[in-house]
Amino acid sequence: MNKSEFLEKMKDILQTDEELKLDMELDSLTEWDSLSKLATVAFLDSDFEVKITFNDFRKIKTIDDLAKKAGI
Amino acid sequence: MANAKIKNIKIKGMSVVLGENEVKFENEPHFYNNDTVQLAKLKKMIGFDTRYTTNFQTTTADLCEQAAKILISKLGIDKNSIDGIVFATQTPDYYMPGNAHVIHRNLGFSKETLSVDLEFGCSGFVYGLFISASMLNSGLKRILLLTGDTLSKLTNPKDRTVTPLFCDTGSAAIIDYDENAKESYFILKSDGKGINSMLQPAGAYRVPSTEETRKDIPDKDGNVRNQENFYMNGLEIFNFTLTEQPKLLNEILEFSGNTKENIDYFVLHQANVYIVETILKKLNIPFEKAPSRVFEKYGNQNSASIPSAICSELYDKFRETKKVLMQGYGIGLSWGACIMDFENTICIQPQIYRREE
Repeated sequence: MNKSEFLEKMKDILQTDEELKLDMELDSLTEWDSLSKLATVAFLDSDFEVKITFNDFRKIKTIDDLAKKAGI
Repeated sequence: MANAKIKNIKIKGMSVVLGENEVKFENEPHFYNNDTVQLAKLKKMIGFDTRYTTNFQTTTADLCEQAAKILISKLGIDKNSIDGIVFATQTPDYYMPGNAHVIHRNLGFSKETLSVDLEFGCSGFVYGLFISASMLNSGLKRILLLTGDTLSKLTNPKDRTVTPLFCDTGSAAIIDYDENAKESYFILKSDGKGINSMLQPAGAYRVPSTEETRKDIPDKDGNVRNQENFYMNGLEIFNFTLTEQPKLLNEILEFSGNTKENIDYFVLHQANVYIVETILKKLNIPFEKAPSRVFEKYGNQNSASIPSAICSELYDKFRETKKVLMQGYGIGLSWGACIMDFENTICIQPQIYRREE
């Protein structure tokens, strides 16, 4: 998965029509709620076998931070 | 390692009783600032719909007692044929004595019947089955296994991370010693490091009840709870579930020499629709072999969830022998899986509690 595919997947997870950019701050998105966090945990687990913990989310600021966590 | 092969046990029947008040998620928009977008998203993704709560005077023991009466009468067995009462709950009538003794008194059992309580949540049915099975292989012939909780009594209505999830439910099962039964397989696990991710922090003896522990405090997301309320860190629990449950399911298949294909039904604890379906998708288990939306009908029924999923969705399936995988996971942390044949198992569809005069 490349970064633009990752962005498409995040659009799906956030259920938004807005074009996402890697440097976007997650907390600035209204759709970034506990449900989308849950879906993100499931996505990183199923597609990358990466576990994100509650503490990780405090350090993950941008979409790019998430992509890096996923290893892309 | 707690892996066990157990011979000679059979579930003869099961029944389930729900709290008397039906609660609809759609009637609670005020807890979500009437945010219809958020409500629709929660309903679709998690499966929030209907759950049942008990009246103030109705307890877990009441629900299980009624489930036991319905089952004993339907099976037409003599209660004196029951050698032991095993009761798994975390919401007992009293700190002491245990709920099994309450049932022993209320149903008028003889002194020859043993009573024992187990302290478990969502893994309680699998653990209760394992302990019953072990007792049946050491001389007892018939066990009444009761599982259930009334978590609505200790969740804070203003804490939306837990309150809309749970359904007050009691279940009863009769487990028999039967020399014709095929071997059953169990794997049981636990991880005490997870104690803080799901617990009732205060009110017992480590942190006794004080004015301070009863004070409602809002968290940063606006959910309100006090230290005597039930608390769950949903994200940590979700992570635990995704990490450990697919792994355990594969382990029990391998340990028992089965494949996904020759298991007829996969009955996972119905924590919520999203969790169950995420596990099933990860393992490529077809949804027609695995109830996944029972949560919409009742909510998360704790240790009565597995019996309820079976009684609600599979009650008419056991005229022929079926191989069933059951898996529970939750507080402790504690998780376990079992593979067992169901043959002529009588499953009574869930009923709503009716107070007897």
